[in-house]
Amino acid sequence: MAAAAAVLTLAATARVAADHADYTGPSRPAQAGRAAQRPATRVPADAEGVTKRICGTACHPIEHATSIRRTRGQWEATVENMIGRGAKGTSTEIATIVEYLSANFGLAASPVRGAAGPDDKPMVDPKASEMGRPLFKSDCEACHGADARGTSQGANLVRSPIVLRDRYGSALGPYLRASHPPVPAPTKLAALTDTQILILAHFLRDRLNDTLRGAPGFKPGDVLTGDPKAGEAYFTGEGGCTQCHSATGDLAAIGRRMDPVTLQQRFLFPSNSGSRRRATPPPVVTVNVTPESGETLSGELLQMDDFTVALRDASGNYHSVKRTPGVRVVKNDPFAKHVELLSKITDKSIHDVVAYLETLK
Amino acid sequence: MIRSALLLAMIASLATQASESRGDGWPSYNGDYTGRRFSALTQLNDRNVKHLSLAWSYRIPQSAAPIKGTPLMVNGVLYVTAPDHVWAIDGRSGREIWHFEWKSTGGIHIGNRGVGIKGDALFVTTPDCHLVSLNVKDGKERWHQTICDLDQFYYSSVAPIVVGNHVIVGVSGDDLDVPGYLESHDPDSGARQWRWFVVPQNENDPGIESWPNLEAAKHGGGMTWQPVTYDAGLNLIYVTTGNPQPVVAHANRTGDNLFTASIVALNPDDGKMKWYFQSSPHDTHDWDATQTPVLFDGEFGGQPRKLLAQASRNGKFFVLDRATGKALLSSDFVPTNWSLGFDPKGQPIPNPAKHPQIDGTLVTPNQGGATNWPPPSFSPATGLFYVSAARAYSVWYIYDPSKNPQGWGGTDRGGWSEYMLQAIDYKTGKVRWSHKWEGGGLSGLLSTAGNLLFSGDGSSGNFIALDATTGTPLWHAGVRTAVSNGPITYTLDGQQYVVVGAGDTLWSFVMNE
Repeated sequence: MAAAAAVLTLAATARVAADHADYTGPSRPAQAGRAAQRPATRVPADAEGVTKRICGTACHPIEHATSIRRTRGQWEATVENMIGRGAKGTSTEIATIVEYLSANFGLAASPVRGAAGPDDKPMVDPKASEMGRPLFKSDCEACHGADARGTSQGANLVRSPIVLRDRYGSALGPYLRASHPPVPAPTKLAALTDTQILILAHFLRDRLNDTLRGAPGFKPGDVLTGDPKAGEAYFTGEGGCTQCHSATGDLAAIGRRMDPVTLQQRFLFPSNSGSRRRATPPPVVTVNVTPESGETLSGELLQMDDFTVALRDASGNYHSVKRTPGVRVVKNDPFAKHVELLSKITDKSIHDVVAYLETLK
Repeated sequence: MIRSALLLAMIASLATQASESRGDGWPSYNGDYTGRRFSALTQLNDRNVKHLSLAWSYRIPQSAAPIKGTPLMVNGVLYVTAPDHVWAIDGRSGREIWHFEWKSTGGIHIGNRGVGIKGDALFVTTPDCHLVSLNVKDGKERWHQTICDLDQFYYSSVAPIVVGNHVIVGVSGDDLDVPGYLESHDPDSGARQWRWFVVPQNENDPGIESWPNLEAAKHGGGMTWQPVTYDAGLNLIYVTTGNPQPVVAHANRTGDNLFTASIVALNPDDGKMKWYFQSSPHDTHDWDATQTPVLFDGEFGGQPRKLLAQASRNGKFFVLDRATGKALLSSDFVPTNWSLGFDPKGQPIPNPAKHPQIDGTLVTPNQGGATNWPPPSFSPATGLFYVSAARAYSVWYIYDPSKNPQGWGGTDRGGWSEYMLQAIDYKTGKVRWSHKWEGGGLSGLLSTAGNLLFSGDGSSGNFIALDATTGTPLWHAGVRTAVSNGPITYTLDGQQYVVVGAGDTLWSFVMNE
């Protein structure tokens, strides 16, 4: 399908090259092969397998995840979301997944099966889209709006069936030249060249893509709205943060190390922070298991359900114990205090704490 | 645990209520039209379930996994699906009889809920917007029809439900701002009989007053991706509708946004609306209300009533009179923080402060919801409504603060969640027992007259039978992948089977007694 899209674009390019010297061809679709895009990588060899196992067996096919193109930051956020929804993996596995997805399914990668819409939907050439912008501004924007989402004078083009049906001008051209209502001079729709139609088609598709999840603009805005003083009071008082943290110790200069959105996410949901590369591994959940007779086993919790509990002790030994009524299991979640916060903290205190932590430079 | 006289009376009333299923097969998505996923079979029960053992397993290609559809079992043959695929499997041996593959032209391949069957005809929807009919004997195509427009980013995943001479199908897709609808097709010719739009398409359509203007309403979403349930006596189908569009940024769709995130009763013969109940007025959290509308008859407030119950993705549990749509009970089945109680109609009142914000607001449940599409179960023997539930928090953001956002315009981020089984007393709306899982993820459920409840435990990868009255686990099998569909049960050659999908594998267990 990727090849088909590229060929289509190239054919369109060849057609217009004769009458428009400025537009010499698509910059992105032609080189969109995945192998060509792969950067010099630190992705572990088994990354694909790990990703398919954790992200492609229980809830959705792997293609559902990879069908949306995302920046590295968006992949981190997406993986964290999935941990929040119950995805389980070690911190190494989670970091591996983010590396794999960022390396292979960034914004420049080719489409795969499973994406929203038809497999032959047009791919935007950013260069053509940018070339279409001044044309849209001079001839279309007054009625259709700067974002092409319509005004009282003209239709919403992002929702236009003609734009959605269009393939590199195939529907747009005939419509603009023959069926569009008359427009004020000096624009002459009938005189639009093939190149102008093509670059307009790229520009409009780009505006449509702006509205999709995975678009570059699909990210949080300004979250730094709180009162730092109130945040400090919460940090040292009601929030109980100083039981474990210190503004001059572990959190010194945290405002320099983390942007406000990351800070907000980290303090509310520290247990999904595995998607970021970090110098020291995050703390893990541990467990103490006391059998009916014998000594208590302690170590990192690997797996627990109603029937068995598995752990790795400090010497690296694996233990698995059948859970019977006489077996005592105590789980120690290093982030338990953060979980307790979720049902108590107000949005105001969240924003105040972020504002305070951001002052720690 | 259960008095046998009471049980016999229950089963007798069941047989009349769900005449389609006598327990020997699983002829439609929910086993019968009621959506209860309750089987009257008792060969397998709380006393002998510990002897349940593996009969066979069947693997589909890993690329097509997970199995999210509910298989049908008709005349000894199981029909299981994945997007673009249907397999017919021998219910005794797990042997593949035939395989159909649809050549796809696109669409989201997130899952397929299963097939519908009427006589020799099988019906299935495809991600690229087709309703396809196959011959059950050999899997050869009878006809196909286009049911939606791929260029508008619709897709289809729903299991068709056959009601009389109608094949009822819905549509999916919430990337672009397009209207949801439900439609009916002729089983023989495939011709469309009617289409009901979820959101107003004309100035005089019902519900237009709940939108700022026709443009917003026409593009207002409300996908219909859950199979309908049906009451033959009232001649009503019950369809549940998805979230409004734009999904999260909502500046251009003030109002309740009817009939999105609602339970709607329609006449199956003409698609005309009889009543509606909105589970999430002006939803801004992707909490479509497309959870199964479960039908049962029972006592409520001292009177015998025809009831409909839903455990909705927004964390609310509703019991309605299914003849009128009047709410009898509204409650929370997990703690939530987004509403300011219920209005006089029993509908939740959203807290404006918990709509997504530019700087974020902490909301429970998260986007995944307090529950989701995995089917719940209701047992008339215990009077309990069982739902696979989550207590989940995330922060909701507006990404597009403009006056005219499109698509999503925001989302939730991060999150923390824990998962459990909730057994809800339908008469009080209170959780009678809760069983928490260590693993993450939701599971489809099945209850039986043998006082059993079947469930997965999420990422822990077990398939479990619990005592339906107390919630105590009685039997389990480590299938090593999260249960990914709703389990079914049936008898063949006098033996009771239980079949469940987990990832790429269909597991069949049998009672060998």
